[in-house]
Amino acid sequence: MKIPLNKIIRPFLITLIFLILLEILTSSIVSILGFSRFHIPLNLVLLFYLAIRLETPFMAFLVFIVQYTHSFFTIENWAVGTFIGILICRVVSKFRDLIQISSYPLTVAVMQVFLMSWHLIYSSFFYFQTGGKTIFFERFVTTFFEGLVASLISYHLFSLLDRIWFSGKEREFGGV
Amino acid sequence: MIDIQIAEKNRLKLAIDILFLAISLYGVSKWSPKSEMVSPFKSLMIDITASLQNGLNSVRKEISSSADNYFLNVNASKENALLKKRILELENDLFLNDEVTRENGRLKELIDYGKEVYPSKIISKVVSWNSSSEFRVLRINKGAKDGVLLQSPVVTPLGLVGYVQRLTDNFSDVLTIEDSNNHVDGLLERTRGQGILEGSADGIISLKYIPKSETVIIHDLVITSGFGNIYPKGIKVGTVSKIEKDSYGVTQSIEIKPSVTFDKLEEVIVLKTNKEPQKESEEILKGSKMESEI
Repeated sequence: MKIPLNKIIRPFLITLIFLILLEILTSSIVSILGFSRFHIPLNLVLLFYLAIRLETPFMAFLVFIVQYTHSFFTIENWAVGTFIGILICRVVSKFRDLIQISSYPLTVAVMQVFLMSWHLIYSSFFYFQTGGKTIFFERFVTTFFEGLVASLISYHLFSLLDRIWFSGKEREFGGV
Repeated sequence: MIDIQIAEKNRLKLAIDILFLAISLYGVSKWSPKSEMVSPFKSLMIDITASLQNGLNSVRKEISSSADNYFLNVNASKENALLKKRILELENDLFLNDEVTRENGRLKELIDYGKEVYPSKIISKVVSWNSSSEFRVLRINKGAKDGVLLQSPVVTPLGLVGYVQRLTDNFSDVLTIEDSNNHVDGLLERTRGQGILEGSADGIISLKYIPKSETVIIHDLVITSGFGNIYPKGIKVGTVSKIEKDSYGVTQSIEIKPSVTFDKLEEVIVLKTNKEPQKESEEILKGSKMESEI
């Protein structure tokens, strides 16, 4: 959906606050409950949403802000996430018409493909940066299940984000 | 006309994408997992969000304590309606006292730890874990204002935890020895064989570069060697849990079970090194400027 720049700022700020709250919840409560090795990649769910729903030339800037905000909670380099994010968002926006997230199973499947693709590119990037060849396999199972949880909740998160980004009529038009 | 507008928008999108790709590539080239200098803005944001994490953590502990308390007393309440109130009160007090005693015990142990060896140490609480499972990093509630320095070693009475990778005024991020970016120079206490301890993405710690000729046995204690300029010598790291000698190569692959149970960490000690805070602050400032330039 094409959105003018002046209509992006407010919902984007709300989305960022939403991301911060979710990051705080997952990094403090969930980890203290004994899941310190398990993290749901909420920033990636958000990036996918922005890529699939918004048609704006400023997508790269939005990706940068999301990844920079995510870096408050992790030592993960925002620059790597931004780089991969911009590339993946370009691909997603090219195939926007083909990607269907209108139903729950489709959203879960598409989201899982997106997250595993991210893992593949991230591992390749890691390999070029450090020479570590095994991270893709070492992290595959964990990433798969983390991605699965993220995919399972993504449909509901998208519905919530749609309420932040679009009015009732626009949501009907977007098919949500 | 519409086609021209679309073409212009596409060109603008491409230009912005290329600009941010270039910025991120520059950021990638400047980044190191060993330590990170944060900009004043990022430091402020981390302080704000970490305070919220800290608050949430305290609330969770309160709720969990109350819930435990309730479950402890629910049977007693059935026995006698008159005594119920009294028992509840007493058991509540007892439970709280027990909690306080346990906490006191833990804190005393922390204070007494290495009294002679490390005269200056900072006790801090674990606030949260890193929000990305690629990294094994925990956040503690002490920062530069409390005297913590970048790359200060972090320990518990049981053994080594890691070192301070990122620092703000009030909070620090600790890169644990389970992280693949953390390499510790280790020493087998019994044989004095020296190797490098390396974490991995799946949380397994390996002791590398120990020659096959070295006789290593299960439960051998591994300590820090003092090389590498981060960790002092003699801190317990863990015990040998698995040894594999391949038919090829000159070294053996050894897995280490860390002395510290990372999933249950609540309090840690930051050891103060001899680096001058003044110098460190200048480095942070320099790093912040670099990040601001990005």
